[in-house]
Amino acid sequence: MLNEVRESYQDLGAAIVSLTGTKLRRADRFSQLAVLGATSCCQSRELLRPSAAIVLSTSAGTLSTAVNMMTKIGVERQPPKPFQFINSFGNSACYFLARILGTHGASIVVSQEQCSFESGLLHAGQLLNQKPDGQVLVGGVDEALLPLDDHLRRHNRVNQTCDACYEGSHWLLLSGQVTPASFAKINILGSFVPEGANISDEISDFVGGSLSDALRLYNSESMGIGESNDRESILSAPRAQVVPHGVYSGHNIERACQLVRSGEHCNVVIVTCVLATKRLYITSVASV
Amino acid sequence: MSSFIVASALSCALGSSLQKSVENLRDGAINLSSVALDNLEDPIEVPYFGIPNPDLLPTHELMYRCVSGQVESVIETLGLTTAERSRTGLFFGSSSFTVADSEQQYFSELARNDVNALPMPIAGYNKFPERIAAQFSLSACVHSYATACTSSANALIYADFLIALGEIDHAIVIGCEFKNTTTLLGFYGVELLSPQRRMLPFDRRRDGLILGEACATLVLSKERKSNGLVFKGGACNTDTFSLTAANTDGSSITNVISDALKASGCNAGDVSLIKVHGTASLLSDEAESAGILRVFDKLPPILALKPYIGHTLGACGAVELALLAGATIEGSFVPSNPGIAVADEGLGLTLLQDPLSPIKGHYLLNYFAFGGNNVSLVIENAK
Repeated sequence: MLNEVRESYQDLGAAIVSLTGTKLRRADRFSQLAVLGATSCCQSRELLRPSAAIVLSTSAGTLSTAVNMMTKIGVERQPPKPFQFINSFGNSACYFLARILGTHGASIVVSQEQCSFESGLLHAGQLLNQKPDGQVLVGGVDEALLPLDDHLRRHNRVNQTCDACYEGSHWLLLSGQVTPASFAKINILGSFVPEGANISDEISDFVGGSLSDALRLYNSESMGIGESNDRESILSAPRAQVVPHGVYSGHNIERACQLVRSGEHCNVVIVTCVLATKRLYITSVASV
Repeated sequence: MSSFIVASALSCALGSSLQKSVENLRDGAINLSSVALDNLEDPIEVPYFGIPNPDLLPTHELMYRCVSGQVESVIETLGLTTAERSRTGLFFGSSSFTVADSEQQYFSELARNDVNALPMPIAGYNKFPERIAAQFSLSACVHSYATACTSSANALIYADFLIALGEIDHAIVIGCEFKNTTTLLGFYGVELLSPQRRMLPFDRRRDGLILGEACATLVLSKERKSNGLVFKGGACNTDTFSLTAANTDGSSITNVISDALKASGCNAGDVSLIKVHGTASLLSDEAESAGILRVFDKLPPILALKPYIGHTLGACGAVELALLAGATIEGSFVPSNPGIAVADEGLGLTLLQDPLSPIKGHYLLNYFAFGGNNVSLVIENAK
């Protein structure tokens, strides 16, 4: 799910009631985004087991709540409201998700700047490695805040302006074993970009001989890296002026799963390369 | 799993170093101060366990010095080469991350009547850890954990997983919580701070917690070192009973303790010591005591560390492990809680009243958080 934010926010509360039949009292916008994305992913509830773990990844976490609390203290000179404060901890979103979905397994909130979704996938993989017959609901959530100029400043885009930003909530239900419901297999490799390395070689090494068949999706900071492939598509930021954050790769990975599920492609490779930190992730989504 | 705890460093209200903290813990030298929040409509003062700060450094600078100093110290202690550091991950757990830094910038701008004052100017949990990892040329494996009071306890679990998978050889796990107005006022607002300014976990007189500032760095490694401490494993679950407390019937805590023991390859009878979460809040202590009593037929010695250092929130996973390990290994004693929960006072648990000599065997450490996140860890003292 990718929301465009321009001059006002969409009413997520109404969408949650429509999707779940439940009014989510006391949840902030971050938790609302998480619930909307995750419940959309798990619309076939019978697939989700109560022991499922939740891995929520985010770059900036509960940013709107943190901003509201700091403003209340700094400008109004008042303590934050109790539920505002409790919602400021990212795992409150996991609480709302677990309550709505009826799960009681492990839950964590992890972060790794622009590669937060990949960090979430790695953690989900660790959990499934421990418990191959388990399930992990892994997702990425980041908010876009109004006013947009302030949002850009928080992401160090000081001299940039835009008329729209995007916020996302992208979710996958993973299992350690192939089940009748499985439609794709995900592999992920994370590393530093070696000095002088050819990124295409790194990708080829990872996906082996299947590279020529693979649709490659590049996240925004990796545009221009790698040789083009006649079916290459750039699906990263829907608009050039969008602020990169930790869940755009979630958008691409979710999209890749849809492409594989529909049979449009049997193998999609998502490359996330953050030049500032020299971090490279290659994620492959292949049909089973 | 099973990685080895090979180095540690600590700064907390007991002292700026692990050695000083252990000495003061042995002597019962509690250093409780207070923080005046006088920029409010109705100014308040709250008790606080702060890290000694004789140079009166601003909080963000104190945080940077503590964290970078501890990482430098453990790297030196272990003599990690450049190649070894490139196989070393960084795992960072906190509740507030760099909120103190954001507050300092924003409140300064407001004080200058800056029309462009920006609340929460620093966005991104992993910014600070990335900076530390780059400073010490660590690997690309840098993750932040934001599960409130279980943040660094969860960081320990996943660090251990990655070592077991062979992704890294060493993991630097940091628990970090520094003084900030938002957290102090938040806890004041939810009325969880102790009016009597004393933390009395499991005691009939308990009336809440005192917040604390602390930073601990632990190194987990695939290679055994001489101190004999082994991180055996841990478990996490999610309790949807309430946003602010685990189910008071103890069921979810029973489950997480049982899962942690199973993950560590031991059973309740193997546990020789329990370090409780023990926030001294009414419901949380009730849930924890009920959970422990359902697991253990015979209770081993039980101790709480928060009466000495306060509740250090997301840092407490690493901080309380570092302090307990320091006391038992370096200080050769098991700390106690004289005068707190002396006898069965309704919750069915009594805390250790006198220090003990180090106990061999498995130690259970509990941590619980807002949002229903429960974590139990197991370490083994083989010495």
